[in-house]
Amino acid sequence: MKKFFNKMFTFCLWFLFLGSFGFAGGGYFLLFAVVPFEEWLVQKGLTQPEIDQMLKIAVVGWVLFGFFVSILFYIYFLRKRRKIAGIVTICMVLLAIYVYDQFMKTESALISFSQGEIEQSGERFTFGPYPDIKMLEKLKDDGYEGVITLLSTTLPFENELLEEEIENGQKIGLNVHSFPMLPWVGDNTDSLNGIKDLITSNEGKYYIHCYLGKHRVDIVKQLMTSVTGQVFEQRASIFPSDFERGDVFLFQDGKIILGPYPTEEEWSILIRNQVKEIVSLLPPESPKLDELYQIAEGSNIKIHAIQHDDLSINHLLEVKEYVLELKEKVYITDFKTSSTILALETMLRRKETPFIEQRLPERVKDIGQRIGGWGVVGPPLTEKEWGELKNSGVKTVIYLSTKDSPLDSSLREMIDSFGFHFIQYKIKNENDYRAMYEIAKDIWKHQGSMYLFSTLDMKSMTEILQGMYYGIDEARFESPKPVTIIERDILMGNTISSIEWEEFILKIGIQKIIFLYAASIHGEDILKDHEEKAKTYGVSFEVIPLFENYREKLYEEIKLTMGIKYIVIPPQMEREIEEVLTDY
Amino acid sequence: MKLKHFIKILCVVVTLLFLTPFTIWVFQKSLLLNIVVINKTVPQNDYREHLGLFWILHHRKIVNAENHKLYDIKEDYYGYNPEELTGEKKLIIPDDIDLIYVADTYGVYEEDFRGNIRGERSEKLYGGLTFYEWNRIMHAKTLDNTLVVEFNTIQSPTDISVRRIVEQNLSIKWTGWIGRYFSNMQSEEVPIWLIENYEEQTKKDWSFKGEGIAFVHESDKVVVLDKKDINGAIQFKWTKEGKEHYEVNSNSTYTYWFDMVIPQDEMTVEAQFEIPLTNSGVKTLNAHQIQSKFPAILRNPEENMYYFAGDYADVRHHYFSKWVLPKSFYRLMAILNKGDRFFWDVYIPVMTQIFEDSYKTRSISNEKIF
Repeated sequence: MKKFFNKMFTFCLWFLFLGSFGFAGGGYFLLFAVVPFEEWLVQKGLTQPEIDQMLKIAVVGWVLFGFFVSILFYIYFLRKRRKIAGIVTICMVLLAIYVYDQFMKTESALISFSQGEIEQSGERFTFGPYPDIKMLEKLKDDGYEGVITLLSTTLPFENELLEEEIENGQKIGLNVHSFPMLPWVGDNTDSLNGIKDLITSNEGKYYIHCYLGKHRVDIVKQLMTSVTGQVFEQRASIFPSDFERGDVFLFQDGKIILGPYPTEEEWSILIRNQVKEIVSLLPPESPKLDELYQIAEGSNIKIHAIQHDDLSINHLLEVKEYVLELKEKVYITDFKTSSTILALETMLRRKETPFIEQRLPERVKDIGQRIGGWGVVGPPLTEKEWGELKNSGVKTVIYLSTKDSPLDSSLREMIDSFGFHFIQYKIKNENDYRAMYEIAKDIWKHQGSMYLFSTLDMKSMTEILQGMYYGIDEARFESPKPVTIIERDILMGNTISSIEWEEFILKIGIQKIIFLYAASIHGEDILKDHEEKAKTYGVSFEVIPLFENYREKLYEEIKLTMGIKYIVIPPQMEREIEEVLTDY
Repeated sequence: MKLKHFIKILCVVVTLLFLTPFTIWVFQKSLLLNIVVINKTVPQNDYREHLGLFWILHHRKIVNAENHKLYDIKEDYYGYNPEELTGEKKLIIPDDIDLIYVADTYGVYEEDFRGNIRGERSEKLYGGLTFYEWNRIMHAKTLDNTLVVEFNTIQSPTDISVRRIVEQNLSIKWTGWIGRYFSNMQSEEVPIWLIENYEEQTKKDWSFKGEGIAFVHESDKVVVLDKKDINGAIQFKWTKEGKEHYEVNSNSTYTYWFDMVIPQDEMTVEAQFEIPLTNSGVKTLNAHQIQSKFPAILRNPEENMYYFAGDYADVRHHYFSKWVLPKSFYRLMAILNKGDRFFWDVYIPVMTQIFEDSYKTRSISNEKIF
């Protein structure tokens, strides 16, 4: 019997050590290893899915490490030095309690940094972050009927905070109404209905909050608008240009959005951005269709499904006409950012018919570089291939040459014989970024889909075109200048040196420079120098003074510009601006 | 009859003499200047932290160049409004600004509303210079206008990153020390947090009596000079450059909060503080590497920027300002009002000169060339 109890005691001690070490160490591991590691990965230019994968590996690694340590603990302490084992376990439990306590403190610096501001919208509703007892007392004094809390009972920290809030509410006599919502698109229908019933049943004032006062309250604001008719000021946010399954494109000031099928988190971005209709290009057999209808129903979103296995150009033209007629915000989606999405992007952006991918010559399919759905950079072709190219819908052929590489007259005749519109551009050499940048800008003006070819190396020209109209390839991007990659089309960094104008700005096809001007740091001479250089190199340039309201202006500039935007920032503000640029 | 007549004339003359300073003020030419004042430390509606500045504005009849009205102490500043209990968050500086005066950014704290006679530390409600505010100031700053920055602007609760930027722009470096002279170390003027910090660090009671100077480092370290360590209050002394610029001769004493900064080459020291130390005082300061002489007024003549290492615009009493009398009258006021001696001796001539310089610059800028 004694032996049994002894074994049980050993097991309990081991289990307690494992649990507390895993929790306490996990907390520190999260703060001091995972967060810096993630920042490092971002700086290295990895995409979000790649980063997520790496972080998953890190977390699994931590769990395995925890087990390994607990086994060592068993072998070296529990079996041989039980007293020390007891002391170590107690220390570990105390440490775990401390870590838990830190996470529970909503006023801690880490949490405060991410919290939204308190925002009173009209007479009845105020939105904000988690309220402490002092704030609840103030709400009571200010005549609030109650608090609507959106904290989730399924998240352990939030559950604890919720219990504390309810207790505080009871103490001071303020009603706390709990309508748990998940930070991503979960089944929030019951809670939203509950809030609707509550606010329509009386005329009282309410304080509505989630944990940070940022995301879930935005969803509730939309519900409030539909119930009360009152339009609430939405928190200015930026729309990402990448989703997990591919690129996202915005048109007409963000009224039309085109992109891949969203993940759970991405759905909440769409809802917060008040998307009212989804145009689905998913094939009829897609398993995502059911989910789409379910989410749409729960979020009051209309679905317009185009269900065809093989979508033709005519189908896409119909979609284009349909979305252009809509008055509310619409999201057009296929499962991935496929050639269908790129074709539709061409129709909406260039108001032209894209080339048909399948009809391109085989060699072009293999080695040609696509510029959206309207441009291909490839090799010189044979007569048969020129014919196939014409058949794919390409209208313009562009030849890039130096003085030493004139176009063969017979080739020119061949191109003309197929009825292509022919343009020839001359550059000094393959590193003449300035001329290539000008050409890339000029190409946009020409009609129809186009094919670019040359006997020269077209790597730089392709990179400039890609950058100017779409962005960088995050996985392969090697920046000639230290920059922070925010998204495929947003880079930020320090001021631009003389050499970097050609070797960086022009070379990667930066469409626009947005100078976040801090008079206290940059100085007027630096600003003037950048303005002059931008004019000399023909690069679009915008100055936004770094005042309190820079955020909205920055979002507006980003939304209006396709291709890469390079944001010049003062290094001291890097962290804050990065937060602003990723506040979806 | 003659006597009666004489008395009548005498009465008229006395009345006229009495009214003359006020009458001259009424007919005195106004100076048109666009001024922005920043003061976040206004817990009460006494506006103490910018009271001295507005006294001079009224005394010199400086009016707003836009509406030609005298500046209103309750309205014409950016910061905390003690009547509405709110702090402004968007600093607007007009394009043709002549002078920006940062009086104080320390802020307003919870205990301030309960009087806080003992200077207890409590939760901040509003305060600290933000990066955006400083950016707006530097955005508006040109060679044709003037910037005056006073203690406390870069110290707590202003963020350290903002402080570094301000230091760079002003060409100064804060040593981390602030301090104050107390005529009575047992008075209620000595903040409770200062006493507590001292007692905690030294494990000794706060038993000082009589005068003394307390130094506080940003790390909360406290160093105290007792009455045996000093020979009176902190001396304010003009340098050669200061005397030339302001046409002043007499030095003064300073008895309120100050900070200790190191100027860069761009800054000219126009006046400095000197602590009259005894031998024991020298030893104490040396032990903590605290200077006994440090800048009081710094000026960057190229950029038209000033740094005042003390709470200079802070005045204890409301004085009537709408009169004109010879400068010697200021000296008389300094003798009569010992608590505000520095204001009458130093602050008035300094600010009067700065305003006149600004007015000249404005006049030159507005002068028609053709």
